[in-house]
Amino acid sequence: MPLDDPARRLCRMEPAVALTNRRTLLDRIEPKSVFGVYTLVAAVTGVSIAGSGIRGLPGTALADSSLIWISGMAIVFASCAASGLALHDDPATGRRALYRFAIGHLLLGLFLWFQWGVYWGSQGVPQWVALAPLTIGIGLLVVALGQSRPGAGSDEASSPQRIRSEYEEHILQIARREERARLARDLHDAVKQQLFVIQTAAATAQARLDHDPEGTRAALDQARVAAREATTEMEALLEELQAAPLENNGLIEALKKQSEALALRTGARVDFTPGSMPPPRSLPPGAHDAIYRVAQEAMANVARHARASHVRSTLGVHGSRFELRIVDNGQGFDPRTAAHGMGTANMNARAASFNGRLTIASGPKGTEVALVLPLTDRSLRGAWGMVGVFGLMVLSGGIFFVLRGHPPEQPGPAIVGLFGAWTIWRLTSAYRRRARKQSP
Amino acid sequence: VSVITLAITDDHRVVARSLKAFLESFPDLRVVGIAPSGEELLERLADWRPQVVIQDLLLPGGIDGIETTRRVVARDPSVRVVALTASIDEARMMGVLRAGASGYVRKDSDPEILLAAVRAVAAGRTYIDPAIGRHLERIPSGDGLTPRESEVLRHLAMGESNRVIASGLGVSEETVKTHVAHVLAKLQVENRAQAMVQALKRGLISLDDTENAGS
Repeated sequence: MPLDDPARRLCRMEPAVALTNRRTLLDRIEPKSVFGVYTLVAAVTGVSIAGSGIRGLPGTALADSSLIWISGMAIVFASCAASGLALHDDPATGRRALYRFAIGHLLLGLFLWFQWGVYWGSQGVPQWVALAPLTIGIGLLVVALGQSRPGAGSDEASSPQRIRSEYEEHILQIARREERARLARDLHDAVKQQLFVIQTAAATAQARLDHDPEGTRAALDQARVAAREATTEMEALLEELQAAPLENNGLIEALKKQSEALALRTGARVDFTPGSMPPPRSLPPGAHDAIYRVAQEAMANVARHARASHVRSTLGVHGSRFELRIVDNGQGFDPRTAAHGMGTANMNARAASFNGRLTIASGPKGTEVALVLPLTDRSLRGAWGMVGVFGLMVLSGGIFFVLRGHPPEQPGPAIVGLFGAWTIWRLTSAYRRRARKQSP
Repeated sequence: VSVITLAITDDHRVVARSLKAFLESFPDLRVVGIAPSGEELLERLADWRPQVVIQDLLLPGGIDGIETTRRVVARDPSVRVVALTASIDEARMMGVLRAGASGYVRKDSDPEILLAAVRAVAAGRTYIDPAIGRHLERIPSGDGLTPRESEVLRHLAMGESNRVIASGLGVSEETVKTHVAHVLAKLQVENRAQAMVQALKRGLISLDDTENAGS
């Protein structure tokens, strides 16, 4: 399917869709920049409040009120930072992170409102309670932003989000073109060998039919083996044309097929050993595809240049990384001269788009291609994020206690308690899961 | 029966084995060696002493088929090389012919074509796969060749010796030699195999002619 120029497609949009279009301005805002705006607002508010705080609050001692504002600011900034981390962990599904960001702020806003609002109210300074509604307001705004993102629910072909993903697609196309060229080369010289063998063996059988039954049988055997090999190789090539594997089992199956095809093409022994696979959603969408394409490229190079007799290929999780390794004992190559036509640019682009690292080591004793992609341990990271928030809650409660001389009014402590219990549960279950993963 | 000894260079072991089985179906052919690379062929050439080398052009890594052909012919000019390839790239074909190959056969042709090529080159003729003719870019004839020279080229392409051409045209062998020299110079080719390709391109000979020349 030839890809339209997304910009042109945007121009061609019908008026009905243009309505969504107007929202693209909001939509173009990256989660990261939402975070930036948020921080800015918080900073301005914080500084102005701190300014008034230092001047003193009616009815409180100067030192007390300064401490209150400064610790309040600290909480706001820390929550911003925590939310920012949550956004950074998943650029591909920024929307989901945005929700988390918003919900986190709603909770924090509620907490602040309970914690400080009650106090301020009791001090007769209701205007300062604005701090809590501000947080809540921003949280709501972010939720609204998230909601307004088309593509959240709709799968409209012309939705702005889709268009943005088409831009990414556009970049990937350069890599794809290289892949297509390789596929053409593969088709050209892969199955051709088997067909040649079939034809030659059939001619041999004909020529020997009258005087050499043993030779005839051998030739026919050869033809059948070659036909079977051609089928396998053809399947592998067709597989390449089809949609790439999106999950673990599909990836393992596809790589198994490619390994078989490589063995047939080169006559080398090809061992493929899949190890432990990454848990769901610990790789960004499209990562399986990238792994598969890199493996294909590396194997095509082995077939074309390496003259290897043994190829080992492994795939699996090592700590917090997912590794693909393809090692051959061939003649190696000089990476400087092999830059072109070996798909290294393609492999590098694939690796880079998933924050991964591609290393190619080659010498006279063989070549090793390794692709390392970082895994995000979502549950663990999320749990630790909650520990951080819980810590902030306890801290602010402590400050309150120090300043006021008695614990905060309900339901503040109750919320903190519930939140703490939830945090402990998430943390222990995340660690239990990890321990299970490491000792299979 | 005099036996033609053959060596096969092909990186694909199964291909080489099937070729050996096929060629040895015929009592006048014997495969004395199979080399997976050009380097290995050159290394074993003195031991095997083949009359004809069937040379795959696309070899992974190392020296390619054209370079192998050049070195084989340089080492022993009596060895005939038949290039066997999946490619129909004209530049590559001219390259291997310039390097000294006497035959050029496509891998998707009938195996009998290879058989004919082996026998033709062993007998000192050149052989170009008839299927190649179809893929050659045609050049209109009469680009500076006199009618007599075209006639000589036609015979040349069919693998006839100077003496046979001379008697066929009713002129002296010396005259034919002069014509041949002119033809080769005008077409900027160095040997009969290349001349044959040029003749095909000019439509001076047809595919049938080459098949006759081969058989």
